[in-house]
Amino acid sequence: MPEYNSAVLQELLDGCLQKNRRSQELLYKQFYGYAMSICLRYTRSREEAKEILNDGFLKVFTKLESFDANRPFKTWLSRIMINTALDHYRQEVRRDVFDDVEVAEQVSVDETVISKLSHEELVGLIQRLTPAYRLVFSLSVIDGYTHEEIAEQLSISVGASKSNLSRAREKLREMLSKINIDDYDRVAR
Amino acid sequence: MIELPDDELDKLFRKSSEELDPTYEPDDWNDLRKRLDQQDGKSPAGWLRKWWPAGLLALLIPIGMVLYSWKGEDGGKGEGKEKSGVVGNGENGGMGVREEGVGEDRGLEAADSESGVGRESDVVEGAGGSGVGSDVKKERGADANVDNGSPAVDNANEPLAKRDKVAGNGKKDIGNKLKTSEGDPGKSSSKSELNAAVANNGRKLLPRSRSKAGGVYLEPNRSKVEGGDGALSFKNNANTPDSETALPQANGQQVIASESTVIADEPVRTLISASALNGKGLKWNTLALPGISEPVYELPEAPAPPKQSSISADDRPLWAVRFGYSPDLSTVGLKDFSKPGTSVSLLVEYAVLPRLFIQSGAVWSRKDYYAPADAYQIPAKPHYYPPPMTGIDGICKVLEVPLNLRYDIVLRERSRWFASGGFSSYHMNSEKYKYYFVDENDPKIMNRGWNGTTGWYFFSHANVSAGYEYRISRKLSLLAEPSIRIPLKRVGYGKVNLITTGLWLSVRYTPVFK
Repeated sequence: MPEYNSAVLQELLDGCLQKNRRSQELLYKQFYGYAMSICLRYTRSREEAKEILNDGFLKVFTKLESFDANRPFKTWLSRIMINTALDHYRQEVRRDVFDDVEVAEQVSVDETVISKLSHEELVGLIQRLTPAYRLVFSLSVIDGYTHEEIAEQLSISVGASKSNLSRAREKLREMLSKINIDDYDRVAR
Repeated sequence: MIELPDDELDKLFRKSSEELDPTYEPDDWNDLRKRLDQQDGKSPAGWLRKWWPAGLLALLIPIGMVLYSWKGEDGGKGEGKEKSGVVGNGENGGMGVREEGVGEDRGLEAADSESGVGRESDVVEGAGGSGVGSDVKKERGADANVDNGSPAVDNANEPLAKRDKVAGNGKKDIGNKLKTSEGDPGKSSSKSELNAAVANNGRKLLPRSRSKAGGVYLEPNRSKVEGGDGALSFKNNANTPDSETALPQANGQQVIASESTVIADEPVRTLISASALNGKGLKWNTLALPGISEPVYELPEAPAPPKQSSISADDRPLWAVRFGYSPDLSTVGLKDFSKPGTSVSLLVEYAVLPRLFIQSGAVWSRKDYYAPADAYQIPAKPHYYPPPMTGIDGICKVLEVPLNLRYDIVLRERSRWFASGGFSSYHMNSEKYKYYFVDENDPKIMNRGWNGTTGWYFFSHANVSAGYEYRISRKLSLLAEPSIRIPLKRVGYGKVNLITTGLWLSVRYTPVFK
């Protein structure tokens, strides 16, 4: 048994394989925070993140047979969540529900809402990016994808990926500049 | 603008992302659990729950077809078999009815049951013990010739030797032939069969229009038993025209009436009319064919009722049960159709008048639709003014209770055209709405959807449909019925005017209560 998959986890996974609802609930509960944090930075709202989270866990429970127990479960889970988020993004793109980039550039931070910077608030800043910037930023900066991989995942060019990342950073700086510097310092410590 | 280097900025957000630990929301799990419960429909039990309507349909249709074909076959076989029954008259009247004592040694009297008596296929007329079956005729081959209508019985008094010659013209020993044919007892008919045939009002008579171009043809109902003229059959040999075997029938005749095949290439058939027989008495003592001594009496044949189809347009059972499936195309405003949902129905019909049915039952449907924002009325909440929306996606599971009248416009033997109309009450079993806002980032957005149920909406829709029904058997029929449900009142959490169209594909079963 690999050390990163504890005996408890393995027991839970076995229960999930047998479609035991209690095991599924416990697994969900155990990895809720981790998975939700991934989903949040790929979506613009908690509702949307919840949708992706549940879609992702549904895949986990139904495709658990394909999980290689010799690999870390967390890695597999995060990959599923990211892929689910990307699927969701592609669907949204097809439905054309996103604002285009030009409109998105008008995004601003409501300073009355952000009074204190916290992890949630910083992730909230990511959420306020346009989908194209948000995804590239999350994939590249947080999840460590290369621009080539991002370009392939999002069906864009490598140049566009780099450009989006650069502009995402600019937007985040811009948003941060509107936030109290003391709050920033507190979070950065 | 904060002048933060890229790596610092990345580090800041990476740290926040990794350390973010959203609090657990039990409602999220409840939502997932519901979906998992639905997902379990892929298990065998769930699969059964999901697909039992299709399974039932797939079961009922072949059963109906089998029943239909079985009934048809049964009727036909019964007729042929039973109507071909012949009563032999003892030892001398062996008419090819094995059970009546036709012995192997009786030569012609035991008509070949291969194709004669025992089969539903031919006309076998043996008079006075001739028992000449079709095979016998065949044996005689094309040489046989019959002078239709002529007084062919003149040579009834001819020596037996000559008649024997006739019988032997087929270059086979008929007796032998008969011996070999006995190996098929199941095809022989019997008195009891005939009686059964009579009792059964067998449907087929010997057709007068039947070709006289071969074999023996006896006009029906002409036995003396029935007051007829005692027309009889005999065999003739074209090569020996003067050697006609006259087997006149003095007291009766054997009739093996069979409905079906008269072999087209059968060489010889003879119609002997009553006039041809006039004054020609049967001299049984001259008939020295072995085993032939007395004529066979024909059982009076019951008048045949007009042939009745197994399916009649007049079949109008009072009750019927319908099971149907339909794609469910729901919309608000007859535009923006989204992917079709599914509907299944179980309806009961009762005929209040010959063509008028009252119809009710249950319809379960899943309705996927899109509604523009102005068609969806979010219930007001105090101090909450939702930001402008572009529209909503709705997924509703609905139990519908229709109350319809169906009228059969055109009735045919196997099909009918009908129209129906009525009202439906909706019960919203579950509702799920997803809101789309003009500005998805609007901080005033509190809810991005709604899940729940709002219960009953009585007589909320008017139903109109028309359809075609095709009967595959007396009890089963298939229907295709385009339909539309027109909203009379708004339903659901957002009070939408939901229009539903679909095409019902149904199986209709009409039970017979005895």
